[in-house]
Amino acid sequence: MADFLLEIRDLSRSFGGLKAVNDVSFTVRAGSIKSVIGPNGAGKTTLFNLISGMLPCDSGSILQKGREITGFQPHRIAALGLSRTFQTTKLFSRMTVLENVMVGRHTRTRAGFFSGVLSLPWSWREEREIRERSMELLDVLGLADAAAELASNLPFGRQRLLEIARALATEPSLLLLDEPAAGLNIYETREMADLVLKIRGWGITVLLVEHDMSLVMDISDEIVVLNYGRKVAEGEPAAIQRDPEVIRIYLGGDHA
Amino acid sequence: MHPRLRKYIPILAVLLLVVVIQLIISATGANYYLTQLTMSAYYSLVVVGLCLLMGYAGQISLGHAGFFAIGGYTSAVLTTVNLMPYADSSAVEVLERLGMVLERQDLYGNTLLSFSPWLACIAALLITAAIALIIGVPVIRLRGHYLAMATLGFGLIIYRIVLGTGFLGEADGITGVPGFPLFGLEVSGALSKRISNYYIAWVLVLLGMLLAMNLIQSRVGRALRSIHGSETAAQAMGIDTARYKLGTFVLSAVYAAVGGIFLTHYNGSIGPSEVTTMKSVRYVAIVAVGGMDNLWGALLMSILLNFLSLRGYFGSYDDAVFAAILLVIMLFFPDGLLRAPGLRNLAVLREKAAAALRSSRSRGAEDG
Repeated sequence: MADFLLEIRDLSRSFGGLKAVNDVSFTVRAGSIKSVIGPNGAGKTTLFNLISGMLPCDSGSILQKGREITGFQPHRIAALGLSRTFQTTKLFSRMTVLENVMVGRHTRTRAGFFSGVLSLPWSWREEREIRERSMELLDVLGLADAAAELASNLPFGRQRLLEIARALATEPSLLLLDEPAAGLNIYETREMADLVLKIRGWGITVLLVEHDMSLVMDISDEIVVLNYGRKVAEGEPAAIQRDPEVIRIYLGGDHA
Repeated sequence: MHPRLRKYIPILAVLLLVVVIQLIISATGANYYLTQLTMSAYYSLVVVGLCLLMGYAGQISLGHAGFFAIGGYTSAVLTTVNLMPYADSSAVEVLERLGMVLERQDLYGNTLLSFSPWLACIAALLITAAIALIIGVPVIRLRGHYLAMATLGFGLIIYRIVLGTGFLGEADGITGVPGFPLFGLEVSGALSKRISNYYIAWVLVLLGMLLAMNLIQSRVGRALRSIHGSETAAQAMGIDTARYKLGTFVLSAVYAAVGGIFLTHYNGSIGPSEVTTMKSVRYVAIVAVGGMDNLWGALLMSILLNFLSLRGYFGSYDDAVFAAILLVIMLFFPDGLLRAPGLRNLAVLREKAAAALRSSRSRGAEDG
């Protein structure tokens, strides 16, 4: 029980008559990479939005380390150590690469309006710390050379990396990656896979939504398959690949 | 120079410019210009605060004249109220002993007993902040047009309250507001104090600029800019966006109140013309023409336009000029006049310089 970093219990969310997420339950073990796959419209991104608090759920519950976080505001969930990226990158385009990552340090620092306006000495030290930690992260992800560039000037692949760097800056215990390989070429996808493995190596649990099957099968410890908002299979990659229901969904009804 | 201090260079440069302008004006015997420059400076405090709100937090307010008025009127009421009838009460005596109630003569030689300007100022700031907080909590949840309309409504309510309330002077406003003692100087419109008041106003504005610049470059400023960039992503980074927007709303209201308080003591009066919706629109127009997230641009435009307006160059078209400016900026130069096509190269240079400065500062910070 205690080694479940995240528990999803009977989670549901409808849009009008459409049940985008329908009674979904699964768990994520601490220190693992778990992937959520499924065809377009299966409810993967909705599930992410529910977990990160961007959307309220209709019913069900979400537990982090056994503690209920259902209905929490997104910023509180982020502060609790659940950090996410977005399918279409949402960088702060008018800020530099370094500043983007520095925003990620927000929950781990505390200078407020008062010390900000007065530029109090202790806040300088904090600022320096924020800057140093952020530069370190850029270094690790190979973005240090672009630190002073505006985020919008980065090529697409590096924008994805920057979004991950920004999410890592919050020191998450669980990283939610929403299609990190979307729009990447085959080499970049390979590098992304290595990066996700490296992130797990740092002790950060990863929950991944992904379209790219090869990526998912290579790196996941466990996979959840969604179809029309319902969980249709859960298990290790090898088992998922053999699952007749999953094969039917991915290859079409005639092949079942 | 320490990189922390490098950002204060523009402030010192402008201070120097302020001195040069005063010397030139005084040398040419045109000291009356100083009066309008002083008043423009106080209006600019409203603009600087609104610039933080609009340009950095990405929120609009069409009610800032209301906050200016709450500051100015509170200070005016407290410093002109006559406590003589209550002079014997123990409460007044205690306040008098604490220096919070002062005796002075009015124009006709009558003795008045009123609250001290410092007490009035602090009360005015607290009241403004409290009102901004109370209306801010529900209002700041709104976006775009809805936020604009809600703040517009707030401004209109303050205007009607001012017009309809006896002790606020109704259509006449409040006159006979005493000067404001400030470290041996006095904020007042007396001709003999014209030059010192010009400097007081400018030091206040530059102080306001300095604090605003500090904020922008702090953790809070970064959070605000990130909200402006993508509210969803900012939340995902753990930023309580509603709280930061509210904080900026209150701060910008306090800026407006400071402008209102000191201009009221400078003019010796305040009237309903300061509270009209067109005044609020004027502040918004100035921030827009300055380039929204450009404090120096907003300050420059504020001084220029307020000065021309106060000198009467716009004649009876005064309000129309500001409305037209807003319209033209929104239609043709949404990034502000200073980033207009033709001047765009200048803007690119500015961005580059800013990026270079930021990266050199990061290097400097690592060294230091």
